[in-house]
Amino acid sequence: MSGEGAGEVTIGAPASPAATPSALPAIEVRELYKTYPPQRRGRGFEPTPVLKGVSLSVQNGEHVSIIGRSGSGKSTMIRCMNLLEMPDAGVVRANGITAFDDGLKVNGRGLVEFRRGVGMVFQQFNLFPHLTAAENVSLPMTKGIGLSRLDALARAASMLRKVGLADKMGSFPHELSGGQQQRVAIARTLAVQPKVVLFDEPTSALDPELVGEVLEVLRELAGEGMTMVIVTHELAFAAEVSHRIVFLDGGEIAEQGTPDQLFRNPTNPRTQSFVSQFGTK
Amino acid sequence: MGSSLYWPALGYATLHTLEFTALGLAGSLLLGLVLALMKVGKWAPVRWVAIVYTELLKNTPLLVVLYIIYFGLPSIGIIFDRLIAGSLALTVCYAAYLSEIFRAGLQGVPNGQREAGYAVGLSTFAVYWNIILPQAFRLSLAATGNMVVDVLKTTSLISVIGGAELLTSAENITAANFEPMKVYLIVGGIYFAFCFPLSRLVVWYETRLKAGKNRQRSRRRLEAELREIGAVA
Ligand SMILES: Nc1ncnc2c1ncn2[C@@H]1O[C@H](COP(=O)(O)OP(=O)(O)O)[C@@H](O)[C@H]1O
Ligand SMILES: [Mg+2]
Repeated sequence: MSGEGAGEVTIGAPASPAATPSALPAIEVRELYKTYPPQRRGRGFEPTPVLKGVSLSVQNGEHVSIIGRSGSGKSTMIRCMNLLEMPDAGVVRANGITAFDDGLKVNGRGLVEFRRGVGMVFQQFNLFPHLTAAENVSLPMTKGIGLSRLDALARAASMLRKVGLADKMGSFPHELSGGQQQRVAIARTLAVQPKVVLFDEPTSALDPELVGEVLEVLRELAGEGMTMVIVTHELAFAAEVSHRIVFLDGGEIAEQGTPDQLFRNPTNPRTQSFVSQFGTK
Repeated sequence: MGSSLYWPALGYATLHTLEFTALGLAGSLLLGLVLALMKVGKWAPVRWVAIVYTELLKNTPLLVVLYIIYFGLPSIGIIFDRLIAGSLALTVCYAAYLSEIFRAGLQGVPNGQREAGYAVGLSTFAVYWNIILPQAFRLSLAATGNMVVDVLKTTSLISVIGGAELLTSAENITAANFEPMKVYLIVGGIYFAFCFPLSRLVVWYETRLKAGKNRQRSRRRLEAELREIGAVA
């Protein structure tokens, strides 16, 4: 399974990092089940099964994109991967920490430690509105890993420079464009040096002309060999940076493979219909 | 008794009024915050305790609570002096009102803020202290300010147990000099002299926050720090 794509890398798709078959996955979920309780009690309010036994194992340095229709459970799945959402059953493991195993989860401190290794970038950025860009990026360092304010600011400044925001360090979130806010959010996520970064539709809330600058940062991060799981509707981008594409449909992985397999030769009719609907755009 | 004679008494009484206010506020702000945190927490029994407490005290007159504490509790062997009894009545009642204000403030902070904090590996405490509370504080500032003024005015109720605050003192003075109009007008003026600036202060601070004055100050501080570490030219 882990060496699957190795022999059939296609033009355009990056070389698979999964060449060492013995390597432990960077992040792994197994047989995840999740059902949301009904919104209210009473007739017509049924529990919604969202994940029906989803498994995904991502190698160090691998880039996996998750695609699928709205409501197919992509957010729920990726949010289970850093346990912002607690699954009902299954296993969640990353960087050697088993954080969730069939209803048993690590204690508070373990959870904090686990999440530090698994960053997440949100669709809505979720910057802290009462703090400047530089403070947004330094907060996880000062309050999470105990760096002094000045050390953290120095690191924050270099992270912000890296995402092209050297001149916005003192800006507050409301003074920044969506694209700039998302780049600050990425810098904030990288501040505590996670081993894996999860992206939940990082460009979906952006005006079209701002999508490019965020994708550029993602591209750069991918080039550095960061382990990335990306939920996205930007199929061209997914094809470009991903080693593997996962098509989620109705809470199940309907199909997965290299970008070339999935986009050009999908075997599942559901994938075919999705790809023909969105892939031509 | 000439009017010059009761000024020292009113001076002491004013200090007592401020003492009740300070103790009542300190207690109710603290207990109110604890109750609010209990109400937004994930543990249902804890939530219920806080909700039942709030409803119970929100719907009981403060005067009755004060009677229970000062006249009722001694019958089961719990005796407080006037200062403690009065401050305690203010604390337990205003904690209920304040907990509702704080709860609204806490719930007014979008859930994405919590999630962003957890996602970068902050503990629950760090998330609340650095992310949620500062934002909730801004959201509840105006309503909390009104409560502060309200507590000061409500200390006058403590006169029913002879709390030695302004109104008690006024009653004692009028009993001796039969000048109720004059004395109560003076006392009303003293309450006003404290409450009015306090209300204005809250409005001023709110306007300042809205105008982003505090933000400008943080920005200047940050820029100075960045220059200090050589992160900017
Ligand atoms: N907190 C929640 N409570 C109840 N239902 C939810 C919740 N979050 C998501 N859902 C439901 O779960 C399904 C999958 O949602 P989601 O994982 O957000 O899908 P996607 O990200 O693929 O659009 C949807 O039907 C959605 O309405
Ligand atoms: Mg989603």
